[in-house]
Amino acid sequence: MRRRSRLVGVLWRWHRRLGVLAALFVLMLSVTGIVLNHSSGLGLDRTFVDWPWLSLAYGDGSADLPAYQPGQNWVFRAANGRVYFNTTEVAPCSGHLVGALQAGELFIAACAEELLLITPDGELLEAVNTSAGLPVPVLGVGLVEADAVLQTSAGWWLADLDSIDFSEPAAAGALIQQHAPGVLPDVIRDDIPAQESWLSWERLLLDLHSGRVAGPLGVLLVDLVGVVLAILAMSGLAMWWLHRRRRRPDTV
Amino acid sequence: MTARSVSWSIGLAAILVMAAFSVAAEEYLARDDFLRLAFGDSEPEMQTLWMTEDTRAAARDAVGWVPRSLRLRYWQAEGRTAWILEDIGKDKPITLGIAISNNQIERVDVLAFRESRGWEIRYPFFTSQFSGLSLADDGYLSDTVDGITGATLSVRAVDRVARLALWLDTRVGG
Repeated sequence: MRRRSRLVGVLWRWHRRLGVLAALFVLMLSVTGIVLNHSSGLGLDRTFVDWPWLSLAYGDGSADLPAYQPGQNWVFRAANGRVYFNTTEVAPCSGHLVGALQAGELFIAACAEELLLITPDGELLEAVNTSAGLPVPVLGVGLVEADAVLQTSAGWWLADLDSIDFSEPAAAGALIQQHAPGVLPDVIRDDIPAQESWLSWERLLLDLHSGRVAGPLGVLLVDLVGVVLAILAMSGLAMWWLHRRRRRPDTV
Repeated sequence: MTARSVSWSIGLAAILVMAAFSVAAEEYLARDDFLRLAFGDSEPEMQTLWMTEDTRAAARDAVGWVPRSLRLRYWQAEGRTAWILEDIGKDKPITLGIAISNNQIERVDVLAFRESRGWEIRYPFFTSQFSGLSLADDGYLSDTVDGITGATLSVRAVDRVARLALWLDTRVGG
């Protein structure tokens, strides 16, 4: 009997502590969850957050993002994840822009997880990602004479863009030409659609709900809150069961 | 350190590792694995279809949608074609593999999913609904496909890509 009382005491103490710890998160998860369930009806996917400091926290330092100038053209990845060829939007590109160059008539925008092959008119010829065998993360892109080469953590690889093959290493000691990043000229930046209209309320709520707003650590934190809630449920059930047994008269 | 705290630490570490893997996982199937599922061990050579102005206009008329890319890749052998195509569900591209034989879809696989919602489309309970479907005269699939709540845009993307793949199959004489 005394042992059971001690167990209930320990359970109650931890249940209370964890409850206080989880309360704020439970409120946040409940509110964001309910609102997300109605996000389309509320138009949250079409209205945008107009808080510059939050956009900055999301990495929207549009003014600081690198741009590359192969030939007379500019290649730039805006904060909304889309690559622009001068002022023409080409396509979304996964990962930060790590380089761009012109190989023959083709332009290559190299993002960390995807290559965009672009025509001189700014049309997307092909997007090449891991599903097509692209080794990632791509660290850079360059030219060995007229051949495009990719840099990964394992070294430089010849980029055969016709057969989409990246398995042949670049010749050791070859001279690799790369474009240095530059700052996008204002005359082009001003013609790119306003960058502040990419962070929708729905995305912000989703990121709050999943913890992604604080990066990978935020996701782990939300996972931990999930574990705490499971413990609370179990400790609550255990206390209820023990309390019920204590109130019931012992019968033999 | 007591045995109890050690076991707590191990449990917590396991949860963190599992969470880290679940965050990183967006590539579900590699290209070669999809082609192996479509063709077995005899993978045919990759071929290229150029989406010229005429082809794009014809595709738009037939199925109401064309991808951005001017160059599409496909594989063809013994009357069967396999396509790897991308479409944007809400914000980010979904990479799909579609195998077609006798003008009917044999299989649909989600190779990569990058959106924050709608990943349920990768499960066989959804993709298997496409098996056996063909392209009707009105440019839609020959039968309806049950959607998934919360994944409407992703479901629509798969539907669009499936219709385009069927149309492309007839284009290359699959």
